[in-house]
Amino acid sequence: MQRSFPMNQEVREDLFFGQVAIIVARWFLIAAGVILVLWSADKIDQIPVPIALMIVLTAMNFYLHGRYLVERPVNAGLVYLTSGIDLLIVTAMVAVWGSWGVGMQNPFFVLLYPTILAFGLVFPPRITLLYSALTIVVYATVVMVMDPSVLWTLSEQKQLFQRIVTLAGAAGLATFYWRIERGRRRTSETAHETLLKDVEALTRRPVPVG
Amino acid sequence: MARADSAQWREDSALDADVQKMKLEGHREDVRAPARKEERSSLSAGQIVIVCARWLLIVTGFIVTLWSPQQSDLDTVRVVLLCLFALAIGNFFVHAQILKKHPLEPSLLYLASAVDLGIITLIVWKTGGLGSSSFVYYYPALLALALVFPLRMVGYFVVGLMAVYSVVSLPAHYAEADLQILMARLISLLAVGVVGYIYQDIERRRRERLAEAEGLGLAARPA
Repeated sequence: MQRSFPMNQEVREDLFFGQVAIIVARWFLIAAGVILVLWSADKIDQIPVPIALMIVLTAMNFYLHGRYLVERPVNAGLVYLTSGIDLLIVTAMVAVWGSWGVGMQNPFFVLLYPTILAFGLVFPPRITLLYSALTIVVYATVVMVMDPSVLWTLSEQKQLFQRIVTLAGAAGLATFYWRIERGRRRTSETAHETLLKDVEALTRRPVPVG
Repeated sequence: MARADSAQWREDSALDADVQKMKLEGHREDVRAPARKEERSSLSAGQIVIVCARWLLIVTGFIVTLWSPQQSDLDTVRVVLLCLFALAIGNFFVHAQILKKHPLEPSLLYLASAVDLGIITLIVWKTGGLGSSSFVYYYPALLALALVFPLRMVGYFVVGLMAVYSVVSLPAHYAEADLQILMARLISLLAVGVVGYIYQDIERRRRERLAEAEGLGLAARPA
């Protein structure tokens, strides 16, 4: 039986339809970033750099959202690149934004959850695995470099472990759901093909036009 | 004679109205049926995601609780372990139902998810409120339900969780930094709920489009 959904087309459709999840996750990241930076800044010279980063993210997301709205979504390469930029900006905030302390004490890591979730819902498992592994390694490295006490403090080790497991869990669940949905689409398609074959077998002629 | 005709006419009209009403109700039922079927089908297919999220919470919870526990935490450890065992037994039951191809009723599924979030909240409360690191378990639990439940329920769960977490985690005398940390967590919880539901909706529309295309394909297939 010839598949009416070639693999490449399915991947492209996943990207086309799912891209909006990544875009919405980034809008939340921008909103949280702007609110928290403006709220927690103690000195005026703390504001320009992080807000400039948020402006870059906003411009990038406007472009992606605009392309999506006119049904001309960008290619996968650009989505990887923009997701990489998200990761860089969040980890940079974890590393340097010191209003609550850097590393383990910094609350910006929570913004990695929607980002990693949206990525996992859109891309195939292999790519999600790479992206989430990269995210976790980068985050753990930043935490250990900026706050080395995590290496010998039990409570901090436990906290880091919980964060890593739940980040990996979010990516894993997203991938699992992605597979379930793909399976449901394929089942419905196979059922349709089987029905057509049955009709043809019973009537002993091809299913008519119109 | 005229009176008898009038009574007959009234009776016929009443009967016609009843028939019309029944037809309308039947029609309404027909219109709602595919949406309900789709909602139930999504709930059945997605239950396993919620079960997996719960196993993740249980296993991680056991590891973290039994990882060098302190004497001073004895009471907390007792409560947490009891909660985790209760959750594991409940999840085993749900998982068994799914394996037997008897997925849970929606109302039970909602209740189970509310219990998950309630237990995480209890652990957060027992382990220090805003200072507790256990709030991270909310993310897998929330994303699993956002991917599976209908919009109204996702809304109730997300808003309810944000409200309850705010009440439980904020200390009586909070500093501005506490509010900022809480705000970051609330925004990320909201983001996870919204992104999860948006994706669920995208997939539902894709399936509908596919079904529509298949319907057309049946008619437009070359002879």
